[in-house]
Amino acid sequence: MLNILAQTGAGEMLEGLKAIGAGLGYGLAAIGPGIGIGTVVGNAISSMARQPESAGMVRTTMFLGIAFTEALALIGFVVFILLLP
Amino acid sequence: MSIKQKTEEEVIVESVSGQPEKRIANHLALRALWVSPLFLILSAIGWGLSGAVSALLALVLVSFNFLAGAAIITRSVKISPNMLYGSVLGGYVVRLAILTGVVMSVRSFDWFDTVPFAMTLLVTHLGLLATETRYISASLAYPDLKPTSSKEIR
Repeated sequence: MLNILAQTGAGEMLEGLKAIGAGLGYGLAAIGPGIGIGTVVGNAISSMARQPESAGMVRTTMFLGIAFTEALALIGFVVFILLLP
Repeated sequence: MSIKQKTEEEVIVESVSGQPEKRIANHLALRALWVSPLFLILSAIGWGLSGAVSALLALVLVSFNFLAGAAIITRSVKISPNMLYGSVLGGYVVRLAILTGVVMSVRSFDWFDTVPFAMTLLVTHLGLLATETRYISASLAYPDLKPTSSKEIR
């Protein structure tokens, strides 16, 4: 392992580290929206169960909530593609 | 009761009992189509033809994201709340995977520019959502979009 690392050029290693960092960043950035979407949908289901007559309204709010939360993951995705070597 | 009244009633019933997220997603996709010339021109000025193509790809992906998200909710909400929960979370992962897959497969081509793509993707997604809140009614009578006139319930 150390021999392989020693044979690798500094530039190549930097590129590889950049790719690892970009992938890790994207993965970490996708965790938060995942939790957020879970919370949004969970509360929407709870609302629909309590007041079925307002299901349409709740679905509208849920859809917009999901879309806004997803924007955070898109920010992570944009950083990922900008960082990729 | 005249034919016109019947038609309006049918439209109202369709609006109330229909699929709110699908109507909002269609509205968002339509507005993405409206703003597309602005992004295409800006990207073409800054990055040339490759910038315009990248911006177009970003606009297509944003519209696809909204439409796919709405379609997943519309289909799964008819089955069960558990299905809704699972499919929304699964759909989130799948849509991100599709987005990543598309970009990773085209990023090595000459006609793809990362900066106009990223700029268009973020600005369009957030901008469309922010402007869409102006058109949302979210009331019991009109759960999705505000009625624009007495005849047209959008």
